[in-house]
Amino acid sequence: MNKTLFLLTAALLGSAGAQKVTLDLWAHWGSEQRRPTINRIIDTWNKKNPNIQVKYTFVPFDQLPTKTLAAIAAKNPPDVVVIDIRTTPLRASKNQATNLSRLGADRLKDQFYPNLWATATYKGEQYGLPFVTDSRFLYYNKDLFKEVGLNPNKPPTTWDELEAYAKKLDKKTGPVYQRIGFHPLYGSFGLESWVSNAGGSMWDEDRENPRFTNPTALRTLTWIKEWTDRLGARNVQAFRSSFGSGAQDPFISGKLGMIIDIGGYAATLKKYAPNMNYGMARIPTPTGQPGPGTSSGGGFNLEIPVGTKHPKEAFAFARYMATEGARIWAQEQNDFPGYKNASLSVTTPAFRMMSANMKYTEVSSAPRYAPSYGSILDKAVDDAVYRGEDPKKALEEAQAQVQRLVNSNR
Amino acid sequence: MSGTSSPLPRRRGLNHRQREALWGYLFIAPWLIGFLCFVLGPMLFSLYASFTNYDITSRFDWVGVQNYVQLLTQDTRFWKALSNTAYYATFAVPLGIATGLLIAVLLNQEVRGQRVFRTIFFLPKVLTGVAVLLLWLWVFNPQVGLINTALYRLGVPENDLPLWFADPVWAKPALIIMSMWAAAGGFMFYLAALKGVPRDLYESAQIDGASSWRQFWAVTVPLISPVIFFKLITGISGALQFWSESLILTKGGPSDSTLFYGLYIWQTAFTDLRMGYASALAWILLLITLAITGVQLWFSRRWVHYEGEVR
Repeated sequence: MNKTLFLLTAALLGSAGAQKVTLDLWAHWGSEQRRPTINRIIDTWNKKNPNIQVKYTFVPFDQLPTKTLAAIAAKNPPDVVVIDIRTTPLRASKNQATNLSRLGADRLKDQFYPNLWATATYKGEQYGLPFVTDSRFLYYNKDLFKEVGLNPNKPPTTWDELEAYAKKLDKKTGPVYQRIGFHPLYGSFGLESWVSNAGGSMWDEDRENPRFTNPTALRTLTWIKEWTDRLGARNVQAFRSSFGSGAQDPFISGKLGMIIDIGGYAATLKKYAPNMNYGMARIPTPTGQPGPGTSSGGGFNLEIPVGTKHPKEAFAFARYMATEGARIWAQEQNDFPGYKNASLSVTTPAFRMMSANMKYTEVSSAPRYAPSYGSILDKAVDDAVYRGEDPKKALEEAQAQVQRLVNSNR
Repeated sequence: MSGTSSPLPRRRGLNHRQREALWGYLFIAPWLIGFLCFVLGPMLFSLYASFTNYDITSRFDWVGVQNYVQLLTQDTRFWKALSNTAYYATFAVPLGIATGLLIAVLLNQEVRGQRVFRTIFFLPKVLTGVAVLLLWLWVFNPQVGLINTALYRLGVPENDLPLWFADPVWAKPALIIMSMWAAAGGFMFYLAALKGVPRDLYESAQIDGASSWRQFWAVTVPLISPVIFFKLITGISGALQFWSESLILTKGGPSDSTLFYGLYIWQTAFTDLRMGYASALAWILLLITLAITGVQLWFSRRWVHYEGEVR
């Protein structure tokens, strides 16, 4: 009796195990706003593919890279991860991401925006599929423009105009600023983004060696420093500390006349300041002409970690998620998809502007020999802008440190 | 199951003592196995890794003492992180002990509602985590924060108010002030020790005409010195490993002023993926901690008194 039952169970398990596969998907979407969409994408797939079932695991954003790394090292990784778009080449070079070219990914190339596709290319092979990205814009308060006599339908297009407009928008009582028109380091655009905006780069073409002391970088840092000196370094820092989120958002509360933020900020404004009269424009450049690095973006790629037991099935799902999934995601979440067709299905004005801005948006990869260079560069910016160090000297110091890191990591 | 199991053969050769020892080992086995697998094993592995260019997934080549040489001779951030950590430990540990002791003395007085006060002062030990850190971010906010508002009311001119986490000079003091709050909850140790000081010693001191200040230094401190010593050792090794607060509040900035040793190890290991180098950093920290602890044990003979000890 026992024997019969055992054989029967084994037979059942065996026949099912031969076909049915369960894939583990890790991503950082756990909020009330994000969760239903990711569930919908997975449910749609699971219904159509009874033999490849996908199980979703939410991993908090800041833990995702380390947990994935640990899982890969333990040889028990998830089958698909949604992960930082900037570090795919790093993981490719460290043998953490599966080479998708061998699974046929190259055929999909034309369906994605080239600058996003390139984020996951390492030594000519593809190690990820772009999922979503964003692009940054200048948001400006039209009512404040009117108040100080600026034309609300003519946003600034050059750096000089930006500064002239900002000066008009500044409002001071005694020594204290009630309002600051604009500051280059408020919002989400740092020194490196401004250097790209001016047509330069902090790295060589292959993003292997730093060149922090190049003339464009030096000019840009000096520009930010002069801007800060005019307002007073102390004022700039103290003023920033009064920023909050939601209704305390500095742009919403009228503390800032202009700010740089991602396209999705339009949705935030709609939610927290539905009556705000604002404009959205391309980020000004030194000459007024846009270029490939005028704006910057981040985002997420789909990767298949090295060590998955089901690479083919994982790739099939990753491909679905990057295309059909991205369409659902774009419609419900307004994030800009890497898949061209998916981007056409959303028609909000902010989304259309993002689409038009994609070719002026740089999505740069972290340099793989010095992924932590950001904190060293931040120190140089802090020292020069707020603490009176000579910009050239600050950049030289950072250059030497990062170069040493590159050399020892090579 | 296949029928009833036959009775176990009676074990000979094991006397009562041995059997007791066996049970003893059995009971500590979970800890022992855990220690070997999760503490000693990884430690030895990291010692080996510190002599390699280990990056977790693609390389693991022997490089000799190169990591150690590089971090001692070329790495300016290593020295920066070390000096930040030393600064923090120098101020946070003595101030933490003084705070805990002061509160314990106050809570040892016989006043009405003492139980309530004890509960209140123990709360910091219960309330921890990111939510509390965000609260501190508000307390130290230069514009709307509790501390600067108070300083302003006391007459400090607006332009002289510290910018706290935005200023490299004030960022570390802010973190040290913050640590006092958690240290206050440590009064429990001192209070227990204070309760153990025999009353008759105070009576004798009073007969000799000692002031309460003198009584504190001549009677209380020597008698609770083992507890102070314990807090000093654990406090210093804890302070040397202090860093997660700076990750959440300041990310090591401004200008690397809160780049603590642990934060630097974490960044090297998980952002740069230089696990070999990070292991070398960790071992240097262990050596420093051991050296400091050794020196303290040596000095402790001069000032720590144990009850019933014959000298």
